[in-house]
Amino acid sequence: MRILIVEDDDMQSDWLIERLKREFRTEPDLIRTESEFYDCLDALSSSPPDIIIIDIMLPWTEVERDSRDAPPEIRGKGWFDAGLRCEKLLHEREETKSIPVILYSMLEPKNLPRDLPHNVVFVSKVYNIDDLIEKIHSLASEDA
Amino acid sequence: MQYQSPHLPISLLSTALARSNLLAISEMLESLVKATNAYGCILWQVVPGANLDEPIPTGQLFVVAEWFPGNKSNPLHDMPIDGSITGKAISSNTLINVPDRKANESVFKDPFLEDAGIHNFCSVPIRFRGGTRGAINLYRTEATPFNDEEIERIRELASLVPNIYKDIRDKVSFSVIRKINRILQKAEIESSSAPLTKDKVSRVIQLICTLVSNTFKCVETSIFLEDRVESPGIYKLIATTWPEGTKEMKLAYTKSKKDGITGWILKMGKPVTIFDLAHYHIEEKNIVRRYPGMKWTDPLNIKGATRRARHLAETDPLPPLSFMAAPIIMGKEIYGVIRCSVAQKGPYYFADLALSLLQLVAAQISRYWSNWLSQREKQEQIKSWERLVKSVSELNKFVHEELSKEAPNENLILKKALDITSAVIKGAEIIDVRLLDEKSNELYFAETAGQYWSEGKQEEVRRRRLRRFPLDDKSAGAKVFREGIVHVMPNVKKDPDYSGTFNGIKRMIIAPIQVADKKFGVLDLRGIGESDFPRHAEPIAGLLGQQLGLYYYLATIIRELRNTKDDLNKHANEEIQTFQDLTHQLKTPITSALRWLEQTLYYAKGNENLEKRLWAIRGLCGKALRVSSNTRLFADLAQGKGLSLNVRELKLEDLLKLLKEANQDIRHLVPERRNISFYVEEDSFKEAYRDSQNKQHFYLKGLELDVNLLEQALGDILENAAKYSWSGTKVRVFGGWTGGGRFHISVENYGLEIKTSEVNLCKRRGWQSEKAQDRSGQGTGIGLWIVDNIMTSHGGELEIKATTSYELTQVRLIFPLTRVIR
Repeated sequence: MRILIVEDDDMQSDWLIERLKREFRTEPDLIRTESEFYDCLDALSSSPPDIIIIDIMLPWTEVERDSRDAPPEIRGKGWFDAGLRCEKLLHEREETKSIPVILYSMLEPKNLPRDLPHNVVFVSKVYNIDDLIEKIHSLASEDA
Repeated sequence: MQYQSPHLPISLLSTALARSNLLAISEMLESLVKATNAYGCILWQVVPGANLDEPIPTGQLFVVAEWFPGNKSNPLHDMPIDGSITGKAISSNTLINVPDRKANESVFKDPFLEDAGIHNFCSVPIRFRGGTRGAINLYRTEATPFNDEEIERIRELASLVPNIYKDIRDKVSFSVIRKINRILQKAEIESSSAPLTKDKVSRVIQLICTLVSNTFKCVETSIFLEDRVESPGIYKLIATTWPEGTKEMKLAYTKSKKDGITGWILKMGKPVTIFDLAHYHIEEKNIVRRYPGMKWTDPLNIKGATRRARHLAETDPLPPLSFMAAPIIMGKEIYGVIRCSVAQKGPYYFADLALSLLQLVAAQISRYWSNWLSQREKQEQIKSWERLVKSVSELNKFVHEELSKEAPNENLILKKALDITSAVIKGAEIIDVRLLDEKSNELYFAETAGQYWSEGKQEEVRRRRLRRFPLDDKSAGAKVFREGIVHVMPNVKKDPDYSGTFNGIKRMIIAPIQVADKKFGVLDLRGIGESDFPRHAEPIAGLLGQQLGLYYYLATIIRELRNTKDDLNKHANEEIQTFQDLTHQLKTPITSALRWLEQTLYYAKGNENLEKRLWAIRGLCGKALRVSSNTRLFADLAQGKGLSLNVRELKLEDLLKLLKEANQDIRHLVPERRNISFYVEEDSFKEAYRDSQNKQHFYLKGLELDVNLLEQALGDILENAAKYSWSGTKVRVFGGWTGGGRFHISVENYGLEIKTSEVNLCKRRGWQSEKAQDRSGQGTGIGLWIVDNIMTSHGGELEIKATTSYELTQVRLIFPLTRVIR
């Protein structure tokens, strides 16, 4: 199984990767920023992962000398719903629209859009990681 | 006898056209006399109302003009139609030649004719243009009577007279009008350089009055006009030529029946001519038939007054006390009256042509007077608006002060607004404000102004004040409230919507008190006097209504804001207490967890992987502790409380230890891959400071401060440095002395730029640069604000130095000397 994690916080991605490796015996891929996700879209289209776990609040880019500025429309407060934009981009592409997506966030479900596609689910980071594992299993079996 | 027959018409015509006054008529008669070798001539006219068709004709003849050598004048100004040769010639429409004095002795009993030695005369009937009948009488002193050829010539010439007479009258009229135009033009030019006063206007009207008097040679010409602002309904004497001055003269008229002929004209707006006021009571029936409702009692004894004015003895015959008057009118507006009485020369009766001219003059006066009134009204309007602007700006100031108070007195605002309304709008004697009672959906009197509110019986006053107006009824106030449009009732009796709160009200204006769709009530203006509201009353009332609406709207908003603020304060205090409680609850387990971690770390030594994870957990706990502390400090500061300091001594070695631990905690929060190192430059804290004034060196031995708050401040700025540093760079912590002898702990890093323009913004609560937000994706922007407060509460300062060209950013915690242990 190929899993892609979109998560900016190393502290969180470290233990998440460790647990997923143990659970699914696979090395998940990791993307840390919204801009990096945009850059990987073509690669995702040509070789889609089996499941994508996306954090919702993401920076546009990391603090690096050569990092490029965010587009004007999301500059400043865009990080708040960056994960949702990533999910939307996936949905807009024929090749990626059916990839199961788990929105994995500290946010409350009430702060999410109501009209999520059927292959997109939300799991709260606040709960035990077993919830996430269970959801991945269930999505993977549906897909199969 | 030689006739100049071919030249006569031309001579007559040229005489007529050469003059532009009524003397031209006499000159025309002179030409006639000379052309017919006569001695003298009289032109007679029948007085209107005469009946020539009866077997015994009734009515009078009057002298239009006469010419006798030496400008002699026949004292006979009029005579009855019946019994006179002239009357017979006119009624039979036949030329009558009286060749022999002896045959008609009675005709020559006229002392004037007798004295002049008249032997014979001929009377030629004529018909004036317009149909009025008359006769030309030519007199001879010679015994030779007019022969047939002469008679024929006379008949021929007489036929020309009506047209020439009309031409002369027209020319006189034209001349008079032209002269008046010149007077008015001159006045207009003068008024363009200086404001037109009533005195100036009166002087111009006096000039017109004198000109009219001279034209008609009358004893009196007077002009009465109404000044609607000063004395509405009263027509005062503005100009007169009455020789006795204004003594005994009636100086003002009204439209009342008691005010005789002038009063009748003012009421009816119609012109009047009366042949002889001396015969008024004899002719009253005929006069009243022509002028229904007219009543005149001769209060001044017109005969006596005329005799005095003309210096005539009691026995001297009086000319007809002829009278004409025209209303000074424009459209339906009657401004006044111009009247002329008693012609001193022929024509002794003010016939239709004279009255037509007088009406033209009246029209010119009316235009001039109405222009002046509107000019003055405009000036008054400008003054009113100026007064209004000044008053409203005073009111605004007053409202501002009142609304700033804890409990604004809205009634005081209303009272002041009503005072302004009364000062700005003349004729608004009763003013009030009705407001909406939201519970009952009725309008009630909220504030009133004007003494009339308290007039009447106590019970009546009480009932009046307590009256209410349901919004769904058809009263004008309810309608204005519903529709939001100013309603003007020039005559309340004719307005079906008037609800009749007061007796004796003549007019009313109701303006809505509202702003946009927010409706509060209505502003009422009532007038009881004669004069109408000025034209600008409506827009001013509308504006004041809007202004009041604005005040009410503001007052409502302020009231709501105050309530909301009180609620918010209450909620905020409750929330802050909850914050404090929660942070306390949070802090306790985290602190315990930290202590346990320290213990566990001790046992984990040697197990690198476990140790690394435990350090990470310790870093996370440290962060949680800082967030918890920041929440508590935020709550304190948001409440307006200063930070309470728990001051103790922090020795240098303890300070260094604290710095190193803080560094370590932060380091474990930064991903290893970013390769950011932290370094405390211990030696910098040990360097001496040289006090140049006392020529002393001293070293930092410690600081006196709240250690927890220092930990918090250091943690916050180190975390920022870690978050915004470029990968592979070093965060340096060092201390030292500032130029002013204060001690600083500085954190220096290479990373995201803080611009000079952002240095002060960084200290603001909630501020984060867009670049930082796009790259960190988190943060409330309160960290540096809290650090700034921590430093201020220690008497120190948070100094942020803008990023240098080497990408170096420095943040300093500066402590005053009082905090330094040396």
